[in-house]
Amino acid sequence: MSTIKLETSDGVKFTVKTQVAKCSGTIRTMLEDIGINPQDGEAIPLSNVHSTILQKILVWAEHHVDDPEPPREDADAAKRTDDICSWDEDFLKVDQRTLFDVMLAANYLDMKQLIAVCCKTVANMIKGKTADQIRRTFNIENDFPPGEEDKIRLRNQFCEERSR
Amino acid sequence: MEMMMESYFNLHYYGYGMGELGFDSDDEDMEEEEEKIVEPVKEEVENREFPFDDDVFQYIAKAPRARVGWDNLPMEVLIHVFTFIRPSDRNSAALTCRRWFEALRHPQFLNATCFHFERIEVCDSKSPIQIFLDSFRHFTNIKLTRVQFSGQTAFWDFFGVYIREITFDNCALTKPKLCNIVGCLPNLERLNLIDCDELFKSWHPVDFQDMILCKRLTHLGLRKCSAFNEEHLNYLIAMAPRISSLEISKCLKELDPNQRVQILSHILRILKIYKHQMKSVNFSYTMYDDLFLKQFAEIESMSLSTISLSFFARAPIKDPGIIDVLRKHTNLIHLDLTSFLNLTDFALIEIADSMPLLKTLKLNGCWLLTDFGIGEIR
Repeated sequence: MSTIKLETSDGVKFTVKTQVAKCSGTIRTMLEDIGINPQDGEAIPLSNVHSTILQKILVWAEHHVDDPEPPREDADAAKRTDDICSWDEDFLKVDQRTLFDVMLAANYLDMKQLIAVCCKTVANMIKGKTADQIRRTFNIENDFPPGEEDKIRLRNQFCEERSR
Repeated sequence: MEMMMESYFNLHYYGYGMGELGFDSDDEDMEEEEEKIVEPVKEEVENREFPFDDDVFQYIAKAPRARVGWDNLPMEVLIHVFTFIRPSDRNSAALTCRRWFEALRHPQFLNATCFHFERIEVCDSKSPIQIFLDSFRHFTNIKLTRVQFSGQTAFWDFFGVYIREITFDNCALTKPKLCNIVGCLPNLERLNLIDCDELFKSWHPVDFQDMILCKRLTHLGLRKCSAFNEEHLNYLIAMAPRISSLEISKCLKELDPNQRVQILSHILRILKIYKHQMKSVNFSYTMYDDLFLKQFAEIESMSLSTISLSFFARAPIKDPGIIDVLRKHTNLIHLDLTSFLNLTDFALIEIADSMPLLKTLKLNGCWLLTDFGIGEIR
């Protein structure tokens, strides 16, 4: 079984099955298109991913390595968020900082399935809340100029879901 | 290689702090951010109060997790999150901070919402038009219900260029007013007139001299209208040289049969003229007859992807026109036959055999269907 080495931002080296590493579109492109040759034992630098996060992501990739390609979804189709598998749900029961970092790393590593699950998790945290509640949930600072928020709120009264 | 990857990521990480606030900025940026990434970032970095000014990249490389927060999620990820929530939740989420609000300007979300003004006066000095005039969010889809167009307004001049779809429902509309508004909408793709008999009654005579061309208009919808005549139809169709979708639904009520037949045959004439570009027709709940369906099916070289023929009570059991229509249009993707009374299992077999592309089929209220016919559809 072929393996490659990955080096994280804090200098930790991971030896990973090539197949697992290829869950990442970024690494897959590096190996297949750019033609980086991992045989000479040199580690691929992932200078934006911390070792704790990479470790977590590798656990996910290991578990999902044999997943079939997801079907291409219609852009207009209503998207579900209640279809997160229970393994992923447990996997993402982490503090917000870790979830955030996993999302960033998954985005950087171009792991579409993982990004989707993370986004669904965040979407579920947003659903049914008011703006204030969302701000508290995610610790977001309100940076609108004074009065602007009320104006947007007023305009939103006229906003409806498109019926088609 | 290492350098390249690094700066790529850091830019992603930090680059989308604060979007420009002008509503004229280009939405393409969001889609093509990977290519364009360097340019906007420089500006934004200058705008932001980072503790560093000169050597941004080096600083970030030393402390890659200096600024972390949900308000700073990469824009493409934020947009991805937003695709999973309903517009009402999306509006709440967008109210949390400017960056999240920015995400709402993605075309996908703009197109998913409709701004509906009901019982208002379109006038600059009155609410709500007043509070919309200084908005930097623009609107692609507008619906006007029982709206008065009395006062002076710059609304159409400001936002007209963004509007792709407009619906007038029971508005005090006159033909000059309609032309005035539509003339300000160069990118209009869909025009809907609902319950607008006042327009047609006052629109006389029909003069083609001052006609406005809507080069991008592809959909014309008339709903709950009965007062239009052939000339009105000609005018509206001529406005849209690229028309590919025609809706005439819930129309032609309270007309005497002669008039109705005249209008229906005129609609068929129009369809014949535009047969090569027509993709979608909708005659739901309009008073058409079986002869209309037969003649509709006879139009050669028209390949539709969407047909809606809801509610048709008078289909003959023997040799109904709908079968001809189904045989003709085998490339259908959406077919709506809601409440098409007298639809038989035979029609379903026809559908099952000849329409490989069909994605949606609506059959609510088709009483004559049995499990046998349904079983044919897989």
